[in-house]
Amino acid sequence: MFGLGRSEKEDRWENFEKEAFPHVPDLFRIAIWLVRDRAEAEDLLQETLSQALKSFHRYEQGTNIRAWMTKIMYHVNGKRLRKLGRLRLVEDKEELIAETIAFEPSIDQHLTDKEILTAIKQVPEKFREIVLLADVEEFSYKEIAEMMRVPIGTVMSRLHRGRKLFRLELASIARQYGIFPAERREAEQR
Amino acid sequence: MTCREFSDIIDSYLSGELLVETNHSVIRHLEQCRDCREILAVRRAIRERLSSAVRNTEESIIDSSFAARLRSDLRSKAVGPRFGPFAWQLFLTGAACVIMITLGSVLLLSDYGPMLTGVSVNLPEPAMTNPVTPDTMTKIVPAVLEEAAEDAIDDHFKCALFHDLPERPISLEAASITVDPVNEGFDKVVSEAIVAHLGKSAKVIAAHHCLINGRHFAHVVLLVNEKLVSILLTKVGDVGQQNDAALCTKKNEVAAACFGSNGYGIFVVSETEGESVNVAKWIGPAIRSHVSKRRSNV
Ligand SMILES: [Zn+2]
Ligand SMILES: [Zn+2]
Repeated sequence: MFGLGRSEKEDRWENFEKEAFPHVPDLFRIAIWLVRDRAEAEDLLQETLSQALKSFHRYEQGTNIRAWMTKIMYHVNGKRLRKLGRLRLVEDKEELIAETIAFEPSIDQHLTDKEILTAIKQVPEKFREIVLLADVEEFSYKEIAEMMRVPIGTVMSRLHRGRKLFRLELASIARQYGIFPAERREAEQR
Repeated sequence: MTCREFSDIIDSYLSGELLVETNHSVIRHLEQCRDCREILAVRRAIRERLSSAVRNTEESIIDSSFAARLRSDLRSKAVGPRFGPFAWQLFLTGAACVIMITLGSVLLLSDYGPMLTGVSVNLPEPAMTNPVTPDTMTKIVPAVLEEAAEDAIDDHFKCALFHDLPERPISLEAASITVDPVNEGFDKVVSEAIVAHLGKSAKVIAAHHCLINGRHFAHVVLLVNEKLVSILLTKVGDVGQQNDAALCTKKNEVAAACFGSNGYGIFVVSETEGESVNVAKWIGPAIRSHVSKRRSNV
């Protein structure tokens, strides 16, 4: 504009601001569903953006910056959890349960957002986060595998189970409210 | 493909993760299987409902004042503790007569104090929480203002908060030459009126001219008690007898108050109705006089 002493730093900041900031609301949502606490999510987002700014030269222009920053967020969060000694252990129990239930509930438009949120919160964390990354944030399986540093096959099997657990939770909530009497009859007849 | 095989890959199909050949066999199966079409529709509906529930719940939505702080913290980290990309334009406007102090990356409004001796004495501290009086709620707002208020709210989000505009904002000075002379000094008028009412609890964090949905705005962004407030001015054409500030539109958890003056609409966007209306009332007289002096000859 006025060309007054525009430094390289300023150019870099503006470039970062332009690329990264439109994704801040999405990144916050990802953070809060990851850590389930507003203050922690804000810290995590702040740290993620600082890291992203520092390594911005490594970001490849034209690739998915939202996925790139989410990957950084997972990295930052992993470090934070290790520091707190809260690194999650792999629980295989839920996987077994999910695998043995074949029931396929149907869904009705009468469910409220609140019920849907209650259902997704009931899904164990390990499955929930991956369902949210795929079905809400719409990252590809490959992007998720890179973020979580797990093989793509693991992403697929956790997703499969997570989605199924979520549908089961939905069905159970729907039943508590008596929304699907027909569905219930059908299940009982099996 | 059998129904059983299909049921194993429905979700991957919805996610667009299947190989092209598999996609073809899915489509062939769906063409001749009503049951699977129904299951697919349900599955798609669940996913859409989940996505909208998670996106729209209040807990998923970033706090606007946090976003504003985050941005200014990062900016100071990146370029040092000076003004942001837009605030320096404000600096130029006021530099000649004002002592500037930087605090973090924001420009403290109180720095205009020396110019306003005697004015900033009567500070009504809790004024921001004043309830909206019923008469401001029932006032009829002209349609042209209501329409422009939607764009003002969009701008508050896309420009002030998330820097997501298709075109870069330009300085008010530049806009006063290329767009409309009313832009010149708009920031100064706003900041003086605000500081007279709020003192140090309000800070200007940006002032510029921006373009959104084809509409030109003179835009001043304030941080008031850690909350982001936008003051926007745009040409709207005849607004009739709309003189008092009133609540105009509410959208996405923010409220726009507005008033008209000489063919312009002035909008105040903040998180609460009361705050928007109060700020609009405070800046009203000064802005009206500014507009009548500087407006383009229409
Ligand atoms: Zn079938
Ligand atoms: Zn703007």
